[in-house]
Amino acid sequence: MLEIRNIAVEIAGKRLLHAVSLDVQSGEVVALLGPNGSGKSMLISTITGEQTTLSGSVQFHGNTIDAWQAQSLARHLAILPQKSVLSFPFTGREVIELARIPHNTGRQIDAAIVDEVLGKLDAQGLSEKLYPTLSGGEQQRIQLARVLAQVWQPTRLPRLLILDEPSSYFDLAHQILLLKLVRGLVGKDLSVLIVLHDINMAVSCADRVALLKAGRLYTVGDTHSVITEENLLSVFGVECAFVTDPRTGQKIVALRHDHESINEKEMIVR
Amino acid sequence: MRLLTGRQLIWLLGLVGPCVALAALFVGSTNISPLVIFYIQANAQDWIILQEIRLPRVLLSMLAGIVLAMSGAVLQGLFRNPLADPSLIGASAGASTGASLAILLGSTLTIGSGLAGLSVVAMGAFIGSSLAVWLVYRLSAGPRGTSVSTMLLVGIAISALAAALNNLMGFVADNEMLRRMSLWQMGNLDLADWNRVKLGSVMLIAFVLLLYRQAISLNAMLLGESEAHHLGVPVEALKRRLILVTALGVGVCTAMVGTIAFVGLIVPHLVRLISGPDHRTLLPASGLLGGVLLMLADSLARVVIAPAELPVGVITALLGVPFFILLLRQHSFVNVRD
Repeated sequence: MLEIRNIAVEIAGKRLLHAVSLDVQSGEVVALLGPNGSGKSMLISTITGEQTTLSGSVQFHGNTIDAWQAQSLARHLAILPQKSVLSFPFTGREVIELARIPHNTGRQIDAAIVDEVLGKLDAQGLSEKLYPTLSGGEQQRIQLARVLAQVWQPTRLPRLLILDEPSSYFDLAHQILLLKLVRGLVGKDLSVLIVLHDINMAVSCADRVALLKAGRLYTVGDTHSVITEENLLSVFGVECAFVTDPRTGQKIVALRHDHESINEKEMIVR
Repeated sequence: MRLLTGRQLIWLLGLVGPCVALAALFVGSTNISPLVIFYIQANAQDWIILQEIRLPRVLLSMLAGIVLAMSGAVLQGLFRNPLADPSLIGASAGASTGASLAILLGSTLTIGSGLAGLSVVAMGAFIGSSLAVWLVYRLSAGPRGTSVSTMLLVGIAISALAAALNNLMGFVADNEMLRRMSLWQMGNLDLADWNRVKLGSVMLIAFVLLLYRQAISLNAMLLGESEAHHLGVPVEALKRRLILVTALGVGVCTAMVGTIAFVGLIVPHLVRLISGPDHRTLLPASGLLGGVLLMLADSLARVVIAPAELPVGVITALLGVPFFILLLRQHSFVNVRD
């Protein structure tokens, strides 16, 4: 559904993305991983057309983003940004209701959808509280509920949900909630592209993983073939070990810090 | 935690407004009994005062209050800053400069008053404010759109430039002109006449039509520009439209009644505290409350030192500033995060 082809981005003469290509197919979860400043958020903003590209193309269901009618695009593609700037005293419910702007489904259906997403995110208690008074994690849950409500119902074409570090302020219970939610939502008419820092989270929720390093796509493929000791060492400069959860058989990545890693050496040189 | 729903507040203000307007008609240096309405043969002089002085003045203060308060609400939404004010985008400063220039040139060229009922001073103010807003907008718009923070900074710079030009002209002007300039800048409703009311009504209709159906998009803008974009809101077109509409409203308004500060700042703030930030009710409720408050402030200005009058801008500033500081201290969460 989403095809990114050879995207290059240059800002003030500096190349930030070099010929990055990435596909998202219907019904899959793709995790985007990489160190700080590797271009993850930049890649997201080229998808939405906010960042102009030097070369390359982005197509969503066979059309460039510009060719889409704005409201129709908003019904098929929702994006959770890393940071929110809302400082006005909307209630939690009112923030989520904003997601229904591109739809013309009427008050009743909208209210039912808002109730549903509030329940999914364990956020019923936040619905009448004023958004600016909420904690970082609570605000993030409301924003996540908002983008869910935007693409809650099936539309003409499969929908895509892009989440840029959705769980950075979440406590452990809500991280697990997010994992279950993402796996539960994905189906043949909804895909998720998710930017993550937590490798274990990527292992447990993604079908495929793309690793970005210094503006280049380092590798992309099935989660288990990409999350390897060598790749993590090369992209993040961190050594790790793999453990298997005895109950589920799932791979768990343990970071090693018992000796000097390559990254530290690099930092000392700088 | 919210005192009223938006709908309740609008109904309440819709009922209070006409009562305040009626009361304002019978307040002033000349005592006119409200019973004059019921007399078949009333005192002719009282009727003239009511028809030619009081009524246009009450209507004009209401129009100005509506437009200033709504402009404030729109700008606060556009800048996503509850402390934004029409003076922020340079409208008031530009209008002052335009008016001063008109006073200076008008006296040397001896252009008569006129131009569809507007004096040369008023035209100058309108042109000045439009120019200032256009300049702020042009300077802050880049290839990747308009950045709100850049625009705020440019707004400050343009306001400073306009103030400097204003001072320069004050330096050149003689005593009589200087007095007229400073009187005009304080905000003044005593020039109210039917021509101004007519012009103000036309402007109000255009203002409301341009804002029609933009409330939902403004709600989305509060989330942030890119979030609004992701919700299908045509952000750049919306920003252009909102800047145009506030420049028109504030420019014409300042031209007719001078600089009246704090109405655009305080009224939307109050409405948000009472019934929340949803622009679908915030815009009409701010308009109504702004109209009511300015009618009250003007009535006060007419009676405090009767038979003389205070400029209404002095009243709004004197009452507005302490009130605003109080609000900020009590509800500091409103602007905590930015």
